[in-house]
Amino acid sequence: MPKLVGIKDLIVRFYTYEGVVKALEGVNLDIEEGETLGLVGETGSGKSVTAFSIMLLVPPPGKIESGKILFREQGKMLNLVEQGEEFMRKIRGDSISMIFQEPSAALNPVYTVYDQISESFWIHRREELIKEVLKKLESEIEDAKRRRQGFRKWVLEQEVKIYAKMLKNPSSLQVRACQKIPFIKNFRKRLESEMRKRVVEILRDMEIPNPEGVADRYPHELSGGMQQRVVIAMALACSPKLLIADEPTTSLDVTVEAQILDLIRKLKREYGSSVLFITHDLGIIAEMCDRVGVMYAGNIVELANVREIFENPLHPYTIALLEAIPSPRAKRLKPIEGTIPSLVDPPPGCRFHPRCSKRMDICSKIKPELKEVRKKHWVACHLY
Amino acid sequence: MKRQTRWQRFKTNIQPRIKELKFSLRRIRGSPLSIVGIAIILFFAIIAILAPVLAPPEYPDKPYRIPRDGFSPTPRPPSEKHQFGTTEGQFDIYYGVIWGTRTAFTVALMVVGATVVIGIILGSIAGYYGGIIDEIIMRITDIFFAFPHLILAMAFVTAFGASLDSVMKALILVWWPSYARLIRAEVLTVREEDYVEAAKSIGSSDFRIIVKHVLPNSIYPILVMASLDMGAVVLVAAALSFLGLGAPVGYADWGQMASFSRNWIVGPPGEPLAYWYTVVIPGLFIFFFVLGWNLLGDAFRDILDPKLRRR
Amino acid sequence: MEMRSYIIRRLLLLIPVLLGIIFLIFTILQLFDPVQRAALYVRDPKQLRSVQSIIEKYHLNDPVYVQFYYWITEVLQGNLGYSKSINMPVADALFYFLPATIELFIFAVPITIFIGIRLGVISAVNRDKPVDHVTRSLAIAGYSLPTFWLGLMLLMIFYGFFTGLFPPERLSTSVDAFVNSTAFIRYTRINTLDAILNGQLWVLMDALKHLVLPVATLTVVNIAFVMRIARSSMLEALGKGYIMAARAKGLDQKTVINKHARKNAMIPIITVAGYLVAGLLAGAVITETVFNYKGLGWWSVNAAIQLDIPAVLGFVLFIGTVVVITNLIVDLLYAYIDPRVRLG
Repeated sequence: MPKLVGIKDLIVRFYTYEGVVKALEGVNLDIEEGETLGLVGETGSGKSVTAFSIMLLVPPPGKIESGKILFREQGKMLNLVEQGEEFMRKIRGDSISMIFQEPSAALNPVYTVYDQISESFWIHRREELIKEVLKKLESEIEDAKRRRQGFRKWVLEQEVKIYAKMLKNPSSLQVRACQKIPFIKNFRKRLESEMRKRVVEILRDMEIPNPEGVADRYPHELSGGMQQRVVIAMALACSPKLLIADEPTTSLDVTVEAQILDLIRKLKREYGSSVLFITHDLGIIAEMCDRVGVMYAGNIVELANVREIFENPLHPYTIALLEAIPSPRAKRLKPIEGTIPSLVDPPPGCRFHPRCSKRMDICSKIKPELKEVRKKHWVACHLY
Repeated sequence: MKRQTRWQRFKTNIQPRIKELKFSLRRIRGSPLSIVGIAIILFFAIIAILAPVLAPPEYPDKPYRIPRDGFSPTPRPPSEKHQFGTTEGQFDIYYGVIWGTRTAFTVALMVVGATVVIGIILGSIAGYYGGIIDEIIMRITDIFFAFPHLILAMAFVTAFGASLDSVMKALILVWWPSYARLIRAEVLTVREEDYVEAAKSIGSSDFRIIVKHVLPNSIYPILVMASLDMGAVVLVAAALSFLGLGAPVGYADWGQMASFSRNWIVGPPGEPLAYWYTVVIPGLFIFFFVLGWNLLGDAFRDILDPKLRRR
Repeated sequence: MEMRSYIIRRLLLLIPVLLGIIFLIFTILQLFDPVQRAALYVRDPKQLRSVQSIIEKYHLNDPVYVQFYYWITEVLQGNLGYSKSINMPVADALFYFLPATIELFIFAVPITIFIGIRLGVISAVNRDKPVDHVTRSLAIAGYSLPTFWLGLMLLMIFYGFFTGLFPPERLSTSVDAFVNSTAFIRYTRINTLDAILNGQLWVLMDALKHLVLPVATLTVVNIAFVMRIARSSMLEALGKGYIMAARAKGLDQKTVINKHARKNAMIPIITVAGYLVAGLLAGAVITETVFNYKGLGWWSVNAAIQLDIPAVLGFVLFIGTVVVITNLIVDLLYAYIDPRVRLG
């Protein structure tokens, strides 16, 4: 399968009051087209930072120091780090989308569901929508001609003019003025009805009952599960190639979680997107993902197929993670010794070595590289 | 286990508080504006303390009476004898602003001090006991909040008769609701905390709980509000004196001195700014005094805001 | 339907608060002796000659609750006494001086809010950059200025130094004479408005000239207050999750700020409108006195100095009512604007 995303040696640092946080220290990751890649790790391992980096949305005081983020856009692999903000704005929400952990936080409380989903359409599909409207206007003008409705024809022609202008330059003074003047601003109704159609359609796709009604609701009027569906709708509105899901079910009830996961699986098939699924829950990984990357303290330590990871974990951290899953047979829990290292002053060499039961001398000196140890199974560990 | 002396126990208990204090001080040092504020306040404090030295009183038993050099109404510009000039009625401006610093501190400390105490008492009672007492006190504060400080104080001062004492009394009457509200809110938050439950369960008296647990935790917002109010009180008191409702003519009060300048804003033709010193100097003192406290209060607020503390 | 019950509850709450205000004023009233208090019960100065009969009629020597009954009936009938400092019944004086103060507010309120919010937003968006520090410093300085001092300084410079540029009082003498003549119809007694309605532009210009300094004085001190609230409100909105989500949709920074953050930030700002009005009213008292601008504030100070008790108390009562009603409007507005409150 062709590659969609290629992250090479990504280094991201945060310049905070307390010091420089070395969040990502040379991350290497690939996402193939049509696959679901899981990214698992504890809090603070750098999963979310990786996700934000792909969209170049690392919040200040963070900065992408070096590395490449390759993305297949229009047949070519482009390095997103080199692209300008304007280019990225076209990508965001269109080619790459993101859904978040807290759906109630991701939705603006003072705007309706319709407002927020239609925004995506407005930003990325404006031309398409206006062309639809113009087509309809053309056929209505024909109709008016036939029925010799002179006045109606004239009104319609004015609308065509405004929409044509909007097509060319939506923020021009004329267009903005037209939107404020009482009667004239009704022309927007056509556009809004087009957008509304699409919004309702996508809400229906999300298996939301009564999509018409929900479109006019405010976020706080919906349950957590519904809110998350709305967020997913916003993300999938423009059929992105890559959907980044940052712990989308962590804040939801277990039953709702199952529904949302089912939904994501179904939509992935329908929309043909790749999914980067970030979570700390190995169970979800097992259910949802084709491949898995294990992250620890800003590095990918293991990367393989889901089955491989569960059947043949190689990196000591992965092994420990799997062993730490509570099991009814075990008599006691097996936590991993120690705590996550400070990212301001990380341990030298392999960042896991202080907690590793199999550590060797070399582990505290040289950082291990990600090597393909078995077929399609990469590990970053000196044991191999 | 070795028996610790009371002193040793005290030291251990106070460790975390000292750590927080050190952190706060570090933050203060890192914020230039707060240092400026402290510097300004210290400057005024020194002036106030050294007033008898800087401006020896003419009437030793009435140091706040500004010495007059004659009775001519026209102000005279700064000179050797009168460093800041004289204002209408030949009152020495230098003397007035120096002793006016003492007046300002007196008024501010008295009013803020009294209102904090009243506020703590009423606020703690309202917050801790709740119920009807809380309702009553809250309704009363609601009523007071319907009036701007200055305007309600005006009514009281008119009733008490214009004088600086009336101003202080009036301001205390007008200002206490803010603190009652503030402390009540703090008490309400702390009341639900587990350590209060624990204290109650081992039989601590209510008074003890309030003093030992509730108050130390609410001290930060009180500090912030009190610092800002030191300036705000002086502004209102000065305004009242300026309007003629406060300190009497010839008393060393900044507002009172500023009121003289009303007739002298415009000088003789050709020299419109001739009497600038009557306007500028007293006002400048008020401005900087208030500025110092505002800077300090603002700095406190930023420093003590738990969300901003550790960025 | 939640909204409707909220409105009703809020309106009902108005009554006890108003009663409370009246009671507070009444308490202050009791600080005076009966002779002084008599002036509060009559609208006609001639009646004051027989003070004893007034004292008897309104039971001014009787227990407090009896007096309260008599006084509140008078108040509710609109009788607030007689103001000796300007020779008018207090209620009439309120209406007489109100337009002038309203005129001040017509200009001061929008300017304060507009500039204050603008500065606050700019400060928040550019947090910790030089613009932020400069704006905040200016705000603190503005906040520390004594209103009367600012007024005096402005007069000194713009009326004294730039001779006669922006004069005090409401109108120049000649314009004032014209405005009071039959050639000019006084619709609202708000000079600028009336000038427009009469089509007399030169009156308008004169009125505006006189308004510049008082309005400037009023706004500077209060802008700082609005700016601080706007800044913190905007900062809070900018820190919310939907901002990140909006950017993830591909929105540019400008739209994110203006469309998403702003609307959320404006909501808490409304809640301080009540405090702003209170601050402006207090400021108006001082400003009007400094500029000899004959509005409510000027009247109240003049009355206080002359121990015109009905006037002072009537004024304070009026102000209290205004603030309470403003807070009511603010609460209702807030409930309406925030969909979380409106739709429960």
